[in-house]
Amino acid sequence: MSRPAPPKAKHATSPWISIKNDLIAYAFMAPYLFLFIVFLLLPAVVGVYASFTKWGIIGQPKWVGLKNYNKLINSDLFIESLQNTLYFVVLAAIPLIVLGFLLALLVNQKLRGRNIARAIVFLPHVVSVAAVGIIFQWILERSSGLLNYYLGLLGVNPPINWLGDPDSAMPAIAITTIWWTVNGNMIIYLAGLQDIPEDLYEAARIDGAGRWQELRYVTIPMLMPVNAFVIPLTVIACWRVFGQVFVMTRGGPQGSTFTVAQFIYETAFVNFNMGLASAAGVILMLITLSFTIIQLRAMKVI
Amino acid sequence: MTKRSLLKIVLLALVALLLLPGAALAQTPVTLMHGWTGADNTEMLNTVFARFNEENADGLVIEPTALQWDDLFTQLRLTAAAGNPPDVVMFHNTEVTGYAREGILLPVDDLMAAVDIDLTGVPQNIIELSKVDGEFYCLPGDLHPMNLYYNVDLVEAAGLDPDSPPTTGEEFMAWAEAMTITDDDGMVTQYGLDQPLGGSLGRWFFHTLLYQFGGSWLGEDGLAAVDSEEAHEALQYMVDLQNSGISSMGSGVGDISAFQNERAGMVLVGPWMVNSYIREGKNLGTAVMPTFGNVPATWTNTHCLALTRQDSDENYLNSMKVIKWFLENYAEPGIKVGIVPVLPVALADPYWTDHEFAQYYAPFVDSLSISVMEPAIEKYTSVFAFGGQSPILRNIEAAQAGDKSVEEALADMKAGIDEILLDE
Repeated sequence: MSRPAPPKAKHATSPWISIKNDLIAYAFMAPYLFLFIVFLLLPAVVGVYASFTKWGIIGQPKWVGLKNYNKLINSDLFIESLQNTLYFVVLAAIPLIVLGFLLALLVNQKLRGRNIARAIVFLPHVVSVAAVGIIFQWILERSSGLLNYYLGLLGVNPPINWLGDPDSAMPAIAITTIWWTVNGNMIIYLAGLQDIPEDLYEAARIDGAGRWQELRYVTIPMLMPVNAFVIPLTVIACWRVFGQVFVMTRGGPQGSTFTVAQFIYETAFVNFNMGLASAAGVILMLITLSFTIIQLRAMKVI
Repeated sequence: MTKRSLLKIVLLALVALLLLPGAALAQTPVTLMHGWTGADNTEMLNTVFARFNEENADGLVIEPTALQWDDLFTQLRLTAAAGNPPDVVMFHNTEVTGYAREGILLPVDDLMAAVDIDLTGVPQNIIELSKVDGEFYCLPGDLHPMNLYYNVDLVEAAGLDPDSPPTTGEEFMAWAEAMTITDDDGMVTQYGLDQPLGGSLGRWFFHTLLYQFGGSWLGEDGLAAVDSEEAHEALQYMVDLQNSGISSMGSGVGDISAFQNERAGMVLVGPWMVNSYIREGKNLGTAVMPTFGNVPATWTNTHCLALTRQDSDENYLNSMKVIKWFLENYAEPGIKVGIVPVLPVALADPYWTDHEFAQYYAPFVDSLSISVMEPAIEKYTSVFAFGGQSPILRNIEAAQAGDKSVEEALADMKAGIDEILLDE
C-alpha cells in the first residue's frame, strides 16, 4: 500500500517574507539578548580585561599584563582551592548524575503515590542555599547534631566532627549538595524518559528484551541528548560551588573546603583585589569550558 | 471684583495650599549604612531611627540601609567610587584606618566641635582607635567584649556556686571538669565548655590569651609577632584546653549550639548573645573573662559612626547631628542588640541602668578596662578575615586539631600574615 504524498510545504519564496520572519524572530529574542549582553556578556568581557589590571574598585585600573596570572600560578592558596574544588566535583557530580537518573527511573514507575513521591523528592530544590546550609550545620553538628545522635545510638563513639574535621568536611558538603540539588537532574531525566516513545519498548519486548536490556539498549541510548545537557551543567555547577560552603564552613577547617569560587569572592570582596579575582574567574571559566568540550566530545555531541 | 480676578485669587490660594504644607514638612534625608543584620537588629534599629525622625525638629530624617558586614564593605567602596556613598556609615573602629587612607572617610574634628560631642569618660584606647594620623575619623558608640556565660542550672547540678564564677584558669578548669559528664559507654553527654575549633570565636579566644600572656599581634617592624614566646604560650594553652576533653569542639563557623542546647555549661562569647539566651529561657549567668595567663585581658571590638566624603559639604553638619543623637541614645540599641555603650551619658540612661538585662551586661561593663582590640591596621579586613584564606584561622585550627605543632602553626601564621601585609 502506497502512502499518500505529503502536502507540499508553502515555502516563503519571497526574500521580503524571509527577512520579515527573521526580524520577528529577533524581536522575540531581543529582550533576553539585551539582558544577556548587559548582564552577562559585557561583565564577562570587562572581567577578562580586569584580569590584566591591578584594580581595587576605587580609582582607575592599572594595566599589569600577565602579572595576576603569574601570581595565581605561583599561589599555594589558589592551587589548593583548585584541588579542593576538583575533589568536590568528583564527590558530588557523579552521584548527582547517577542518582538523578535512578530517581527519575523510580518516580517514572506506574506506582501508587508516585506524584507525591515526585513532590517529596523535588521539595529540597525550593529551599534556599542559606537555609540548606543552616539545616545541615545543625544536622551535622558534633555534640548535639541529629546525625551524631542516631550514630551514637548505633554505638558510634566518639562523635564525628563532620564539619570540624578536614577529612570529613568536604564529603559532608557534597552530601548536603546532593540532597539539595539531585532532584533538578531527576526532573530533567524524568522529562527525557517520558519523551521516549513507548513503541520502542514494545519493539524491544517483542525481540525478547528483559528489563535490563530495555534499560541498556533503549533507555540509556535514548537519553544521550539529555546526558549531553545534564552532565556538563552538573560538572559546571560543581566547579562553581560557593553558597553551601560559605554558610557551612567558610572554607574551613584548615582551608579543606576552600573552593575557587570562595577564592574569587574573598580576593574581590574582602581583599578588594579585583584584577587577581578576575584572573581567577577567567581560569575557572577556561577549566569549565575545557571539561565541557571534553565531555561533549566523549559523547560525540560535537 | 471681576470673574477673572476671582479666578486668579482662587488659583493662587490653591497653589499656596499645595506648596505650604510641603514647605512645612520639608525634610532633609541623612542616609546611613550599617551592618546590624543579625537576629531582629535591623527592625530594632529602625524603631530607634523612627524615634529620631519623630523627635527631631530640624526636619532631619534618617534613611537607613542594612547590609551584611561583607556586603557593607563592598557597597561602601562601590558607592564611594560611584560618588554617592551614604552620609553616615556605622562599622567597627578596626576598619576605619583602611577607609580613611583610601579617602572614603572624612576627618570630623571640626564637626565634632560644631555639634559639641563630648567624649569625656570614654576609654582612652578607644579614643585613640577612633583617630587616624591624629584626626578623628569616627565616633565610638559601644564595645562588645568577649566574656564568660554559664548555665546556672548546670552549674548548680555540678555542685558549684553560681554566685562565685571562675576568675582564674585553675578555677575555670575546675568548673569545666565538674560540668563535663560522661555516660557508662564513655560518651560525653555534657561538656564543660562550648569552644569551637578555630573560626572567629577561636581567633578571638587566641587574641584574648595572646594579650593575657603579654604578647601582641604585631611587632615594632609592623609585621606579625605571633612567633613570640607569649604567642606560643597562648596557643599551647588553647590546644591543651581542647585536648583536655572538656570542650565541645564544634565546627569553626561560630558553632556554639552545645551551650544553646544545654549540653555545655560555659561558653566564651560577646554580649550580643544575652538577648537570645534569655529569650530561650536559659537560667543565665555572666562573668568577666577569667585570667588564664599573666594579666587580665579580653578581646573586644567596637561599633563606631563615621562620615563619608561627599561632593558637597552641605549635609555634613546634619549628619553629625544624627551621630550625636545616636551616641547619646545608645542605651536602647545597647540593650536590644547586646553591646555596651561607651559614652557615660548612655551608660547613665535609665533605659540601660534599670533594664532587667542590666545584671547580665554588668560584667561586660566591668570588662571594658581589660578589653583589647585587634590592631586597626590598613589591611585589617584581609589579615583578620573570617574566611578560608585567613592564615590566622587556618593555623589555629591546625594546631587545635593536632595537624600542626604549635611552633609550626605559629610560624605559618606569621608567614601568612606577613605575606598579606607586604603584598602591594
